[in-house]
Amino acid sequence: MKEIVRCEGIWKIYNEGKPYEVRALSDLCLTISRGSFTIIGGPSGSGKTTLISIMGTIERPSRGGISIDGKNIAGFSDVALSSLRRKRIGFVFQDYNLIPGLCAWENVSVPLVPEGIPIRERKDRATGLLETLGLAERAEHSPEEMSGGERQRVAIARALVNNPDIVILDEPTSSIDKESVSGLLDIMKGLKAQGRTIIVSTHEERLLGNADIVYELIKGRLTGHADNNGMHQ
Amino acid sequence: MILNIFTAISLFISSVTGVLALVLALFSFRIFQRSGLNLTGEERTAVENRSYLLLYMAVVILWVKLLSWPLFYFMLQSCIPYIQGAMCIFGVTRAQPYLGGAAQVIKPVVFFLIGAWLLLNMLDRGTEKAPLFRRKFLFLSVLSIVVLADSVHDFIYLTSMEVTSDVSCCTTFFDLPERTTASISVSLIGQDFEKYILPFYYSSNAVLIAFLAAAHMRFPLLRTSGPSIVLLLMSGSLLALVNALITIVALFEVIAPVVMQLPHHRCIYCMWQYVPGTILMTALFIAGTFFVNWALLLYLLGRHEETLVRLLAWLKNLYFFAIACLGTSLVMATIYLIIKGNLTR
Repeated sequence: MKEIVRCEGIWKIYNEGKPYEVRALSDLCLTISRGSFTIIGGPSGSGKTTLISIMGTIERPSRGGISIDGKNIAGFSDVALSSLRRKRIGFVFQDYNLIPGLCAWENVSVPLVPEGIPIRERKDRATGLLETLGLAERAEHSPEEMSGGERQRVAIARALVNNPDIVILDEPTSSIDKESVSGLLDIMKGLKAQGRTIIVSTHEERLLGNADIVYELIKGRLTGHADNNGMHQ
Repeated sequence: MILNIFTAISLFISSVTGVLALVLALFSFRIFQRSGLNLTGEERTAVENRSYLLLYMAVVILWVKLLSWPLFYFMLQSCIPYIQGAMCIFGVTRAQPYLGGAAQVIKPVVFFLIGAWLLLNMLDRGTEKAPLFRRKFLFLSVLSIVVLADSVHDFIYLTSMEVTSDVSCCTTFFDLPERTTASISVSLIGQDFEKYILPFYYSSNAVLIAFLAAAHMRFPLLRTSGPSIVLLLMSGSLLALVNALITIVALFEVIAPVVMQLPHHRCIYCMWQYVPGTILMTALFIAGTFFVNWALLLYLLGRHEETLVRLLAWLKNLYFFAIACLGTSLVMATIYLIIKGNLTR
């Protein structure tokens, strides 16, 4: 499969040069293939969220290069990264980051606002996605009136509303029950079937078996990866 | 001080924009300095995050300043009844001749620089790596100082304008035989300069528009860098400046008297009063002239490997707008001259 994301020698150091410097990622290299289901695994504090934030263009690496579709985005301005993220990447945050004052369809339609799409079309697209994810009757409800699983599906709908080809989910199973995990797995399989690239950071055992490739991170270093041909160090 | 709704709004705008321009000047220079260092990804993000509010402020202030140029003339117009002897805007500017004269120079300069900066900012925002980031902030810090100077000038001008001022009217300035536009014309053309002004006006505008149209068609064929494009843009600017001088003389010496149907009165401020449509005609002429010069300044400031292709398309558009504005202004002038029945006289 053709690669879509490539990380080359990525370092992420917070507060570099200061006494409280933190090395979140060290010299990390990996590639992600288009249309694949990739899992970034590892214990808490291993740098999973940092890595997917860099791949999702939310953060910049301190050193090293990252390419999307062969284009090195390390030197991109914040405005250009935002534009790229809005058009190509859907991100589901661990805590969902839904906006409390807005109802479900309004939350889903937020990424369409900077695109200049009129409100009627925004509502149509948002409610259509909510319907696909089984939340049609919850479109007018605010996040506070929803369960954890429902909030997560609203966050997934928001990530998909711009029709991105890369969907990134940060610890999607951390605050939902076991039944919701299987529902989530079905959604991810559906997204993969549509040809989207799915990148998930998790240590949930049940998701591992469904991935095309699993990268294992420990203390910011890639310690190995497993694919359909087995485990590699 | 003369207090009415226009002076109150102008005073408010000059106070607010003055304070904000000072803030802009300081912080934009700091961002310019910081962005020159070899930054890590984290530091670059921090600098960019700090720049957003500043850029937002800059865009709002600069748009307000752009719109305050016409407001300045409305304000002067509103002061006519308060100043003894003033019959038009010119009379009001005579109440404080030095400050009034300075305003006539600083306002177009501020307008021109603001337009150039807004274009540069838009050009940079469309790029992937923001290569004009430093230039844009250096330009902004300089521009903020000019805006600050303009605001301070406005504040002093507005607060020092006296109701009891007694001024001479525009007839004692523009209608004298030794008026500036006539003196220049006599020295260049001769005593019977008046019959040559309109042919000069039309020829000059036609040459400029033809040049811009040819350049507009040629832009896609040009190499994006090198002396040919600089030469082309500089020629355009030079022609636009020569055309501006000829048009100003034509406005005072021929167009204003004909349009007002007052053969011996040559004040364009009175022309705007008597025939308000000529304000649009003048504004279009100014905009057309500025578009040509914005193209040159934008090229000089916005040249970069990443911007060149887009820059060329922008230059083409700027020349198109210049043609549209200058052409419309010329057509309007012709219509006014025909309607007043004096073109063939």
